Amino acid sequence: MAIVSSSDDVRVVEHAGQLSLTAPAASGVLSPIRRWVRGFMHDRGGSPEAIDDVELAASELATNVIRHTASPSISLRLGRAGDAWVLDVADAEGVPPLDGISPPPLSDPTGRGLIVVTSIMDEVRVVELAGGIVVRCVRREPSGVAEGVGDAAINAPSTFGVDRSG
Amino acid sequence: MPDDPVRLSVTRNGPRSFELIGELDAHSSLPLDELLAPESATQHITLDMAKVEFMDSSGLRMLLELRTRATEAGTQLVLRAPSRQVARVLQVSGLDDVFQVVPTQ
Repeated sequence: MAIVSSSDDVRVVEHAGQLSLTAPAASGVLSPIRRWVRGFMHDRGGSPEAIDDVELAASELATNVIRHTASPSISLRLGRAGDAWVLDVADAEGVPPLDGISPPPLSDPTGRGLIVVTSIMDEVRVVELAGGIVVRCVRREPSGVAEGVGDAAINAPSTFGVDRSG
Repeated sequence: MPDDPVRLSVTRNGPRSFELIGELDAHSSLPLDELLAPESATQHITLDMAKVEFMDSSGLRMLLELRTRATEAGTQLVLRAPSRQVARVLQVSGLDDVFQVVPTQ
């Protein structure tokens, strides 16, 4: 496992076709995180639409970690399994259940991030682990666009490291 | 982060008309007081959004706050020429009918 970069406070590891990012839970890392996500997907043949969607979902979910959890860090993992991009973002304490989610009233300017994510992703699940909570999103490429990456099968979420050490 | 680059610039290009360039996320802040300053009789505050390369719901939150304050001040917020990224977030949030949006001039 090689550290690709540790600039911008973002620790970046690419291993077995997966991109892993760890960053302090601060808004200054959002733009670098988005750039890494875009670059990773672009290099692996992601369609412009899928790249835009996963970039937006990563930004929303990382922002949720910053705003709504006490976690000192954000952990994000992105990989490709066949025609699907799989994005895991931890830690996400305080995320409401996905069933019954509804838009807040106009007078409430907050709370739209998860609505955006569930609108643009094909699947969104909240996975509870011993060490925290992972939001897992799947965005499928249109058929014919995907280039299957054999070694990009996503491990079970239980192998996802949640860094609470700060 | 050290040497944090400016990721959002707000430039005045007319009476109560401003151009936004860059990214609108949780790290950005809109100068609401400056945007709302009643310096002309113009009834609209216009934001040119063509060069906003990224916006998420945190950016949308700022636009909603600006819209609310503009309404309270008796003016109307107009979003001009939203980029694809801006238009998409407005659409998936169901707020594309809430904001007054005008196409490219």
